[in-house]
Amino acid sequence: MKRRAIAMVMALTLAAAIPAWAGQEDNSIVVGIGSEFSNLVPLSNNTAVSNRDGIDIWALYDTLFFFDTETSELEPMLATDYTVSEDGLEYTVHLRDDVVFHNGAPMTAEDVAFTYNLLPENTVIFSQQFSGFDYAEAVDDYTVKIYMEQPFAAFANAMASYHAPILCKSYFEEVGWEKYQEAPVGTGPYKFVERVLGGSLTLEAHEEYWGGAPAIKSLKFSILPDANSQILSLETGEIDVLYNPSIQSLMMMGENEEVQWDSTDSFMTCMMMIGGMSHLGTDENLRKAFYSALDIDSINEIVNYGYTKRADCLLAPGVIGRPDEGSYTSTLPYDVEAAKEFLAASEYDGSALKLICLAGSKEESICKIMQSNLQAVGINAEVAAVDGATHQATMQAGEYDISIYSTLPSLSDANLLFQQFDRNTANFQNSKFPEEDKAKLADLADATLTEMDPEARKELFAEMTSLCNEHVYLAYLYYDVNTIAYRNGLSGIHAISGTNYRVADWSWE
Amino acid sequence: MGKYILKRALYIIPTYIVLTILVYVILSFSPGDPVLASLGANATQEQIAQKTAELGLDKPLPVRYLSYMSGFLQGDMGKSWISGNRISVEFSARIGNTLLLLLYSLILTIVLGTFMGVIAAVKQNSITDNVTMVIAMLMLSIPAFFLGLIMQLIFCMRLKMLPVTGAESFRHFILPSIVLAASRVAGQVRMTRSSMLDVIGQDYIRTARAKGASEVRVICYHALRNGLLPAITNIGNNIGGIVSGAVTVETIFAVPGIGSMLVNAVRTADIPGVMGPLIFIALLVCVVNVLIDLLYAFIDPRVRKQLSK
Repeated sequence: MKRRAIAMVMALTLAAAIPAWAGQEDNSIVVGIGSEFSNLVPLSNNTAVSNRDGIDIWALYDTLFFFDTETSELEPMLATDYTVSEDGLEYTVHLRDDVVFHNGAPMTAEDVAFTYNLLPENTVIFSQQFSGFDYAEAVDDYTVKIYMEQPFAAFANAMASYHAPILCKSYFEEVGWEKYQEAPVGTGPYKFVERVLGGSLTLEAHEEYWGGAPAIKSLKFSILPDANSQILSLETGEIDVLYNPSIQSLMMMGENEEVQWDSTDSFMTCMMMIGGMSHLGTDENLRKAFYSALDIDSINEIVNYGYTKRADCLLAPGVIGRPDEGSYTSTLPYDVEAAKEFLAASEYDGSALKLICLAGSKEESICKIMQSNLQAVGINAEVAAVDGATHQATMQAGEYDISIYSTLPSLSDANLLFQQFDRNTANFQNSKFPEEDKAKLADLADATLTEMDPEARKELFAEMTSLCNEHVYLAYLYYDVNTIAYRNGLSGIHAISGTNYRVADWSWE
Repeated sequence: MGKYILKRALYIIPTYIVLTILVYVILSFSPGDPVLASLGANATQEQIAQKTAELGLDKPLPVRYLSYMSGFLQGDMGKSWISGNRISVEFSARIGNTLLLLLYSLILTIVLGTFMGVIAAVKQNSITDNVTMVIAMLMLSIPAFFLGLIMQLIFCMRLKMLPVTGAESFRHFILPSIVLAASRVAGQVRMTRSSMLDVIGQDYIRTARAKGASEVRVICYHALRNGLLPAITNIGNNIGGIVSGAVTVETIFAVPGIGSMLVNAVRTADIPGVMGPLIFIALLVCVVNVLIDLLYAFIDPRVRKQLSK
């Protein structure tokens, strides 16, 4: 009797102390994300910002312009407009005069010039995303001139990149980078409150935000590395929003009256990389046999439950500069007979092609389907599912035939295709494709950097895409899908193709 | 006795030096390139060369090791090669959670494992003994990630008694501690049961019973002290296992500890990120094992007498 009473008291104590996840009651929101933030202060330490961090970067900061992934248009943000000289070497940017940093300091052209002049020190992202930038200077309080050493066609989009949010010059001069990173200051709709490394990031509404104070007053990002825990946390109400859960996790969630989710086509393309040591690099017929043997539609159905679409270009629909449909040669279709013919014409010696992937990942499932597709046409393949460090080392050594990876244009621009054939990169230099075609692709890539006419630029990308598709220099699988799951009662929230979520637009009903 | 304590403490130093050398060398030759991990596959040769120099990877291995250890001894654990953040800042933010997790798990292992082991020994070959051993084997057999998921489904989802993830309060540590302790409890039960059976069969126990001592006094006063000696040694062995198990548990329950920090650093070949936590863990295991040995001297007067000589 006594023992039963003690057990009941304990149970009641535990039950009574269930945390009050207020959410709707106190206008707060908890967003679950899958991993630690890569860099909370872009441009402060020569470390790239991961594209998955778009949601927190745009909560803390603003950029000069904002790329709306739904309309594929650049919108004014901290800047009202810009002009560019005919030679593409001088940008004049006019700024808003009502922007205030989180610490109360007004934003002026000095802050913009200060931020942009940090770019050359950040070599990790500089040459590929801000190519040609020379320096910036404040002309007056609300006008900045940006000077280029050479034109960069994607520079307008670069001004909307999460790699260049506007930082506070006076705050940096007061505290230095270390303190800035401990307590970031920006102009965004939310200001920093607290960070628990590896655990969470807490922000509160910036009441003096130029766009109007956000409806959600407290925003917390909670780091949840485990996929099962993410779903459980959402279902129990411990988090209100789950950022970009995988389709596989959402399918496992099943029906839940309190939770809903949304998906949309992503700008991310899942594709295959050919290893530096692979025969696929030198044998075009083998590449064509390989690609024709793949039933990509089945991969989309089985692995991604039909939510993804077969890709025929590196650049997903909506990306600026993407060549128009029909203006480039399409990819080889799935055709078993054609694959066998290509294989017969190739120099394939029967050895197993090595398909490398991360163990336990979605890519492992894709590789297994590919393996059976290839065996159906007579190409032997083995799947090497390895840990992260081994995967990286193998990739660097080129000791594989095919690796699956996903790539996202961080400028939402076709500049991504330039990056694939940038003649200065180790990847390009180590590639085994015919030198003539390599040189042609590199020349076209260089031309896209400085071609300021959008239509002419699209034609260059169309030519590159055709060359790649004709000879299978790039092998795409599908355009991925972005998702967001959230508890009922939240409005203004939906999945977008990029990562620049505007949490300030969300609210409780 | 004082000399013994000092001698044991000093033994830690060469152990430590050898350990840090081994770890640093192995990590340096392990797969993964931190330069390309931070720059990406499309890095130019110039960027690679610059980053390599920035991280000091262009220097010889012994120079790099000595430079790292010299900084470490002055409290500087270096900066992450991937994020650029100070390792000491991240380490100090996370170590508290891991220590709490270790402490709660260890307490659970000792208390539950010892209790179950004693009961099983006292009730040898009874239903109680058999059930205890089956429970222990189940706890050993179920993988941590699966046990964690089951417990989250039951206690968080269905009963809504405990939080799914986090480390904000004691309640957040209940499930992770149970999951982490589960597999260690089995070993502790078996060790305790085995040593208690040994002791219970001794003549002096028979004598105590013959003198009319109650069963509780016989077990708790006469048998337990000797029976626990091997079990205490097992605690030292458990520390290493609990620390390695903490990695999985921290990931499942989103506890921001050094276990998950260590795994992320290993994956990206981030040597400073690995060395800091690893050196601390090694020190912890060394110190705990020395304390265990000293505890022996405290509990067993035969050992204390021998040491005094």
